[in-house]
Amino acid sequence: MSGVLHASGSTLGRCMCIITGASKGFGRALAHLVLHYLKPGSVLLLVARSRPLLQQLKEDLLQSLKDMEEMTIFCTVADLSTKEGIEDTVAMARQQSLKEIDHVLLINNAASLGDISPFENFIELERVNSYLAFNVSSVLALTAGVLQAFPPRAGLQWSVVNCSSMFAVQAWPSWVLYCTAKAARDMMFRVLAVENPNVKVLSYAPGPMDTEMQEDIRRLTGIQCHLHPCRDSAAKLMRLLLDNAFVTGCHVDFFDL
Amino acid sequence: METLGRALCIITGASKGFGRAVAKEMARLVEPGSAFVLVARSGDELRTLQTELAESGVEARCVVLDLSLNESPERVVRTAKEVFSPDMEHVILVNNAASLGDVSRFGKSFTSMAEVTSYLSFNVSSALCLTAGVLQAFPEQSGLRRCVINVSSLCALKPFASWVLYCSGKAARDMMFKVLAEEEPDLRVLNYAPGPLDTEMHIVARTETRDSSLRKVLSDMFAEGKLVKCEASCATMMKLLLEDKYKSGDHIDFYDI
Repeated sequence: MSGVLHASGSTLGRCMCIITGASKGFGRALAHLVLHYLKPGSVLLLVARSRPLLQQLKEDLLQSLKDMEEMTIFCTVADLSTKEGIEDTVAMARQQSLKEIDHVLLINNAASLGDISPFENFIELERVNSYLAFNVSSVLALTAGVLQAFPPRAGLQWSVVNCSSMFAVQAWPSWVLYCTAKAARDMMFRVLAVENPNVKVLSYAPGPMDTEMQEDIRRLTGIQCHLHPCRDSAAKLMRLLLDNAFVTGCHVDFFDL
Repeated sequence: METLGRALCIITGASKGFGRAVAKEMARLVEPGSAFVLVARSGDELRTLQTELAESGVEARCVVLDLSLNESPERVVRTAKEVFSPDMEHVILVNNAASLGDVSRFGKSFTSMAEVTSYLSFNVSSALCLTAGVLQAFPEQSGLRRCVINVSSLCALKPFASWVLYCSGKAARDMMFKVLAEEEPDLRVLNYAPGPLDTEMHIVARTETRDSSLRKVLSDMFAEGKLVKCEASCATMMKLLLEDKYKSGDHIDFYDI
């Protein structure tokens, strides 16, 4: 485990933890890490499109739980770009709403790169809408659904993470779809932060990591940069969540810490 | 610049409010041989404007449509190409059409992906696709100045309770146009925030906003006569265009000048 992990004693409590895009990359690394900070009685809900990858992840996690108390791990195979995918995920989460939970942690990680292409090429409304539907609309719809399933109140810790990017704040040529969606998400979560004083909202930009998305970036743009292991970035996010000292609604970058 | 030259001016949301003011003001600043393309959903109001412009000797075409429909950006571009003449020296696109979204609800009520996508389609995607189409139709060439304006808002920079859609959409647009500015250094791109305008949109804002303290701020602004007249904000924007000193991609607010 990375050295930046928190001193022992600090946990996420009895937590309902939902991670989207959990089957690979950053989401998967988070699932592995989060497990160590969940108290018995917690529920981990993993969401992705790939049943086999989710199944494998669940088995890996159960393996590493061997010596620990029983934890509930659910997988929801869902395409979050669809109404059904969102509804299924919220319904699955809602089934746990009667449990004695003292923390709800929603990690909005699922995302796509989109076409990396000059601005001028985006003349088709359907294509742009499809991208924004998955990367922006579905995130709001899912977050809203989970907020309704677990209404924030004093005494219930509520944390929502928006997996952001430096491209939410920095415009980059040929990255219009990705930049636009990340900028929209950051603002969306700032509004949610203002509206929900009982919810801590964090836009976390994880830095360039060793993921399939980065492979796609390299292939499409030829850009190569130093990539950090997902687990290192996951560890920094975990530290932020455990310390819980971040200002709600703020944007924090991997390189800030 | 003393005038905007012989210009092709494309203005969306031209039937009322700020868009209408822009059309009228720009018409006074263009040289003979210019043409306007006025886009909105309300045919009657557009045609009234068209007549007014004709009376001042400015040719205008009306394109009556809903910009969020798939074929709409192309229809606008087609009309623009029809009225363009090779001796025009300036193409100006004013992305003004926008909607407030349902401000009577908080972000956590937006559980419908379709509703959010519909909003983003009109307020974000259509501006991207229309701009891309216009840039493709009028590519960079010597002797042709090209200018793209995004009617922005303070909401692009600051979150406001019960305004999740509007803030996210405006933040998305600012970023979108910043990317464009980065990609095309010969293009003039302006994110112009016009101030709190005295328009129909403000009536809805000050009566429907769910957040009571924001609602009070908005209605006090109206009651105290602090709303900005469209013509006044328009004059400021024209000054920016004529002086042409702004940094492409910058966000400039009415109150900054």
